[in-house]
Amino acid sequence: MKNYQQELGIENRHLEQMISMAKEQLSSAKISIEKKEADIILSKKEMWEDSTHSFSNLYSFQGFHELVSFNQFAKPLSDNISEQERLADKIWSLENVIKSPYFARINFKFDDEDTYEKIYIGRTSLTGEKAYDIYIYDWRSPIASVFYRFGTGKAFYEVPGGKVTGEVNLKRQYEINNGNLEYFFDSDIQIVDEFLRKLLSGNTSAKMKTIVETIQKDQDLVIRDMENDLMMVQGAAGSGKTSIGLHRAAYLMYKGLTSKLSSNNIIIISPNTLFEEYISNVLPELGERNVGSVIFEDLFRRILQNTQIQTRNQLLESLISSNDNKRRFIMKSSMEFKASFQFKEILNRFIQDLPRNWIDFNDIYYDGKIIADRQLMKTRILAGDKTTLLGLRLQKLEYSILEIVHELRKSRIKKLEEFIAKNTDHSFDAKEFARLLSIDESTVLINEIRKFTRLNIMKLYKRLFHDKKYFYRLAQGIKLPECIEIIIDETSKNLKRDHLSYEDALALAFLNVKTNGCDVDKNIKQVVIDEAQDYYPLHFEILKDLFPVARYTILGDINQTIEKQEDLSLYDQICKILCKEKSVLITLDKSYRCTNEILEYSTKFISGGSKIKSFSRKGEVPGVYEAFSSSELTNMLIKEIQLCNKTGYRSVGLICKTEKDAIRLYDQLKDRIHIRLVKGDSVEDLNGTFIIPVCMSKGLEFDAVLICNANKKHFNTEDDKNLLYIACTRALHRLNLFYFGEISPLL
Amino acid sequence: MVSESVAKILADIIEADYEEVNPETELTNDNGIERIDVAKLMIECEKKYKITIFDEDVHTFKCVGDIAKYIEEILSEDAKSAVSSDEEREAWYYK
Repeated sequence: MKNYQQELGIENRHLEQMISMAKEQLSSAKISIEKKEADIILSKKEMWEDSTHSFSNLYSFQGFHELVSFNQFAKPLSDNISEQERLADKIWSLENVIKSPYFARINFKFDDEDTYEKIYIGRTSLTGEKAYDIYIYDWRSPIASVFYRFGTGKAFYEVPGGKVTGEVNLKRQYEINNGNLEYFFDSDIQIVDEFLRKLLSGNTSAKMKTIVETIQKDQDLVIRDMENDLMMVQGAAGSGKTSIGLHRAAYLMYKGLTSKLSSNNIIIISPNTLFEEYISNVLPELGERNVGSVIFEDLFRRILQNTQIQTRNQLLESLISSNDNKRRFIMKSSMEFKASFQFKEILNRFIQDLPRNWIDFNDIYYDGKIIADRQLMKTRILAGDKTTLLGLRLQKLEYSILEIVHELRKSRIKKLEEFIAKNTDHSFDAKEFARLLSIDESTVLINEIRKFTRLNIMKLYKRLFHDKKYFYRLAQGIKLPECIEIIIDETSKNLKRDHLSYEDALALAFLNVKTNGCDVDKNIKQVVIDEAQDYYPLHFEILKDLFPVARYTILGDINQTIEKQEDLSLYDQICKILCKEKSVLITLDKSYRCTNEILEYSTKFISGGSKIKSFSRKGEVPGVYEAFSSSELTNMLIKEIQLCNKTGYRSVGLICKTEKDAIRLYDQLKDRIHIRLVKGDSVEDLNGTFIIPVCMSKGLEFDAVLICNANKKHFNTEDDKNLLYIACTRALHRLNLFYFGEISPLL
Repeated sequence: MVSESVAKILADIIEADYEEVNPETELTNDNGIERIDVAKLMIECEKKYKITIFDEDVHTFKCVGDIAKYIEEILSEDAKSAVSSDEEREAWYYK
């Protein structure tokens, strides 16, 4: 203990030193930024006053010297601005350093040296005036990996030049809040379980937390992997998949600093916007900002330029809330079929067949002459390079026709002028009237041409489903689902009403990408996909075309599906579709979120659940409570929520099967307790008590969870088992189920 | 900048005050703009900027700003090819 006091003194002095250094740097950075801002205003002023700024002339031949002088002003201005942005970033990270400079330290002795060096590890690095004086290392730096991967004893880390070996004789972890060292302790093994347990038993904050202090060895391997182009992670509920995905994004950014990877080159595809908000806190805290985060429907909208698309949540809602088994079966089959390999093959055949049967080439006339023959054009397109997208081939055709038109136009306008001068009373402004006539006839002409050079994907897709005979001909040799007749009829009916369901939007997006291409950012270098089990083969086909050169990190859990059953073959499929050179599948089966008891209870809903290990943390056994009337059910829920609030749980989730159920329950409760309804994407933080439908709750967590209403009517099928698994595993500390009526046979 | 010039040219053609025409002004009868005025505007813009406006593109112009954007695109493409062409740059130096 005496030793501890002595060490504490040393550590406190060191902390003070670091903080005062950071403060010094902060104040000098603040002064520089003020100066920079003044500089920027000054250069703007100079540019305005001292240059001739006749911008329209800058492009002309004579204006070249103006362009040069303009450039002389613009260059320092843009330099100043980027310097200012850099300083703003620095200030932001220094402010964080002052609050909590580091969370760990190792003593590391390089093999060719005699003394141990103290390596402090923090969320961002702190360097001295000269860049080689490093006081605190970024958690993503190579040497920091030693902390995550080794206990005391021999250790090594990878650097670009090879391996650095050495020895560790101390691993120490700190809890520093607002510049105060609360406590520290040493460990010789992995990140100390006690430390982790203490962190885990804390209540959730409104947003996801960073886990840099507690990254485990297997997690660290995923985060720091640079070998594989395709990294797939199958992780049990609560195993930290999402955290890992985000930390990996942060790590890749850090790695990319040398290879010019900017944050805009990373895109995270998340299940819903609620989730997007939830994770938004993590990345800036990790040190990176503005990593693009989208939901898949955003990509659809960008590809199709259509905002009227059924969202996945709407689809799930109508699927889950339907009591008609036959109808549900058809909806599921339709979704499954239209996103399958089989349908993809049909669509590919359809694209092949477009120029032959569905594009109406027409003879094009200009100035009384035929300038493009329909048979020749068709032959040209059919014989064209198949590796070029059809839409682009057609566009080239359009250009080549227009080139002929442009050549002929002068003589055409002359003819028109002569005609007007001779035959009308506009002889004085014949030129203008000739131009008007030319504009009119050119408008007609271009519309004629575009009838076959522009593909109307929606119209073509409608035709595919309108003509059953044709559909079956295309599908020859392909296995179709039993209820294909009904699927075709329903789709045709939907499309006639211009109702674009989720699965049709998916197919349309695929068609569009495969014919017209898409100008979604081709520079994306890293794609992180969360909840991958929600997607189908066609999703990945689209991603492959959108981000052809990107590396992928794919996180999922085959047990957390909603409308389908998945197994590990999902990852084989993904691997086959994306066809990357190096890929790996990693399984994380340790759950950090739930208590032992909750995990044990939840895993009975899935097969192979026994493999999931819990990070031993004790709690209460989940209870199942019966109510004898619906009003008693409401009372029980209120009582439980009040108890949770009294216990100090910050977030309480009342999970219902469908959105409809959630709304009904909300109406019953809203006047009696303070509660919020999560519907669509309307909530920005998760502090308080919420009612939420299961499919929206995926990926989120609550201190306490109440499931309502767990009766036979609501939960009775195989798919419902998955829903129960998802709902139960949202709970950190407390889980209780309530029902009215006959108890669900699944419980 | 281009949009202001185009607006001015149009105002001259339809004999309106300069303040009455702006980039948002739609090319419709309601604003006193006849189809023949559009034709005239095309001719004048071509003269001023020494460019060609293709007649099949004219139907896409809904307002003054659309025309300005079209012209700016042509100009910037010309500028790009002008800068990248070494011959031309040399021609400027040794004039």
